Amino acid sequence: MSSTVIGKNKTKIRKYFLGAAFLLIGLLIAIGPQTIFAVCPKDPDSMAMACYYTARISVGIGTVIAALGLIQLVIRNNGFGSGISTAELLLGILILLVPTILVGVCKGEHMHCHSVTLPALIILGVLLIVLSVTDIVIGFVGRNKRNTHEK
Amino acid sequence: MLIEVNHLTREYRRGKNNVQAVDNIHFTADKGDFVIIKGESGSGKSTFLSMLAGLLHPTSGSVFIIGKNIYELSDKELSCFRNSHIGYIPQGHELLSELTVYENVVLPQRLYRKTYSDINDNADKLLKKLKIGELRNSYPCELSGGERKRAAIARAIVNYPDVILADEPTNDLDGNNTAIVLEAFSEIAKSGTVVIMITHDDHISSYGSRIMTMENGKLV
Amino acid sequence: MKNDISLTKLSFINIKKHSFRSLGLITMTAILSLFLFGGSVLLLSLDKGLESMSTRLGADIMVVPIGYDKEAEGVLLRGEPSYFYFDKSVETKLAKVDGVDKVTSQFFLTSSNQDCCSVPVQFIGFDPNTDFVVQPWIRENYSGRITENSIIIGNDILYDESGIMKFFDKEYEVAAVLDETGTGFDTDVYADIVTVKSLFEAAKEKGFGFTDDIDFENSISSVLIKISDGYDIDTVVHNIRMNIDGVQIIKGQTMTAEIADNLNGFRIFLLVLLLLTGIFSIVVLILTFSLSVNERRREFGILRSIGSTRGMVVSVVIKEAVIIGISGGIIGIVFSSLILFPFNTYIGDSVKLPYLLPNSWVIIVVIILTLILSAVIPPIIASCFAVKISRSEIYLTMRDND
Repeated sequence: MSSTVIGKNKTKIRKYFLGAAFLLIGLLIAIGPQTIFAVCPKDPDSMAMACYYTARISVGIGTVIAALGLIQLVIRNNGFGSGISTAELLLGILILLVPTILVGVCKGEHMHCHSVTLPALIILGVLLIVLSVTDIVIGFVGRNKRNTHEK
Repeated sequence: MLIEVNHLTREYRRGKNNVQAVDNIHFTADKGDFVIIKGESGSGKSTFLSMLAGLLHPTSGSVFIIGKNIYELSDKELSCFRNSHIGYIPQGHELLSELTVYENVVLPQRLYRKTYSDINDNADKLLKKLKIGELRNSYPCELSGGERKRAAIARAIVNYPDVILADEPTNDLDGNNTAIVLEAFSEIAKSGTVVIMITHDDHISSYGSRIMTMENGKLV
Repeated sequence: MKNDISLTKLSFINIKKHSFRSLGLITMTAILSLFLFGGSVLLLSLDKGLESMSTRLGADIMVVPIGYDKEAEGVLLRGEPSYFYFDKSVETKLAKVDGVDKVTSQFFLTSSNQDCCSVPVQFIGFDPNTDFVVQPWIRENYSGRITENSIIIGNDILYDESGIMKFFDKEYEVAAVLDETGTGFDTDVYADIVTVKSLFEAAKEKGFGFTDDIDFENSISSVLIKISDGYDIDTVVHNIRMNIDGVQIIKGQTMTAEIADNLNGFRIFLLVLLLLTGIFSIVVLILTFSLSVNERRREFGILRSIGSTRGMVVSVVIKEAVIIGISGGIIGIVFSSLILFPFNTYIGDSVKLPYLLPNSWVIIVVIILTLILSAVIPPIIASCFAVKISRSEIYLTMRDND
């Protein structure tokens, strides 16, 4: 098998792996704060707490992350890859900032949103950043190699 | 004499019986000899060659190469001796499939040299001489049978050994490639190296300086 | 372009070439190291929690109103706020019991903290003149004396930078914060009994009644006892029972012993889990390395035929196994850390046992030990098979895959 064919196969595998990973992370961010790592329940008689709004915003951000992952999986053109990864990188930074600085969660360390939701969102955000940065770097290095080879 | 073999015997157990694959062989060879040993399949040729290379311990007897009884050496000493003085070309798949042609050829040089500058930088010259210079970065799976065999020859001679031992090197090769390989052996022998080649092909006797036949473990 | 080759590079190339198998081996090692590291940190955290609880309890015996032993344990162990009272004269009576060296009383009160998310807080009033259980810990963070309307808070209590907390619309200055214990002590607020009593009055003014018929001036919640040298706890407990009715006696060592029992149960469960995972991983490693090494007999034969010693051939296999082991070890530690450290509070709350992460140096030691084991187990397994093959006749090894 020639090295070009091997290279194209590797790109395809990377594309599908990343697409699936982005989709899964996005779904977890969207649904997680409402379910498996839920925020504090909202008391109908009192004002909503910060964690309630964090959960709502996560639905939006998570959906966009998942949608970009789906696009990555479905679309044939490999050229979209680094664009999607750049977008996911920015969304990863955003999802880190939402529960920590921009909106926040309850201050009490033993509150469920603080002990479970917050670390879960941070981990998912970091994972998203690591995956997208890795993809951008691999893409950049690969393009440099091809340009040198062509020269 | 460069090679001296005395009373060399190798027995195998086959079921309840002892089979003598190599039966009390006496053999000598000197610098520049190109010995072709012919024989049918199962005559003991490969077993004899492997004992010359130090790859199979004899049941009895001795093998002297450059005055050293190779079976009195320790494993470490014998391995180092084989690396420096013996080039062995096995039958069939000779190269490591995960290394390129160049890496395969250079590997014997790297085993005992500590730094890259210690390497005798002749691998590329050998590959060019054997007309596979442009394949240095290819992998064995990308080569034809003849090209692989030539790469194996390059590996065997990269350390300028005193003895080359080739086990059926022209097996599976067409006429053209067979000729290339045998020409290469002739040239190596002319430079002073002992070349011992075993084959079951009767048509290539003309290249050797000595032709011998092996039958039922005995050298005729 | 010259490219160098060595036996070490050959190990890397082999791993890359058999990527699927290498991935499987790395995964097995990662699972092993995940359980090893995770299990060790869990057990160490539970041990540290128990140790800190034993140290913080301070007293040999705690006396509470009859029937309130479970509530008292809840306050101490799980930070479940509670309040109960009996007559202050119990303290005087207890001081006279044979074998009792020191006594000090405490007054419990609970409140909803207005600063945070409606989590009830436990107030513990103590007498600075007789106290021997609270002040030794306060001195670790505060150098002056506790004044009226100043409070000392446990590690988990929230307060803002102004250093003022508000309870029942009354302000109190935060004088110090205590070290974390991983137990109910972390959600307690300490103050002298005068301050706590003023809190009680403030609570009553806001309409918070606890029990209307308390004689506040003459009530206490618990008495803590230090026994005299030369006496054993059971004797003193017996003496107390003989002299005083209507009280519940809790031995400090019983409370920690019960937790230690629960901890032992958990420890055995973890160790069994670890053992099963370890056995499973090692069996899979043995099978995979056995197949892998046998598959490569011809390759090893070729290496030997060009002059490799037995040691060189075995070293190729060992290096591959070390690379696989260390990679799997690092991955297992990373995944384990992603669960243990960010979710540390949740784990502590879930196990319902004192839980305190060990300090950084201990964790570093555990990481190093886990990595060493991960780096050592695969090579030991692989070398057994490699040594066996390297001892075979080279010629026969080369012919084996034919």
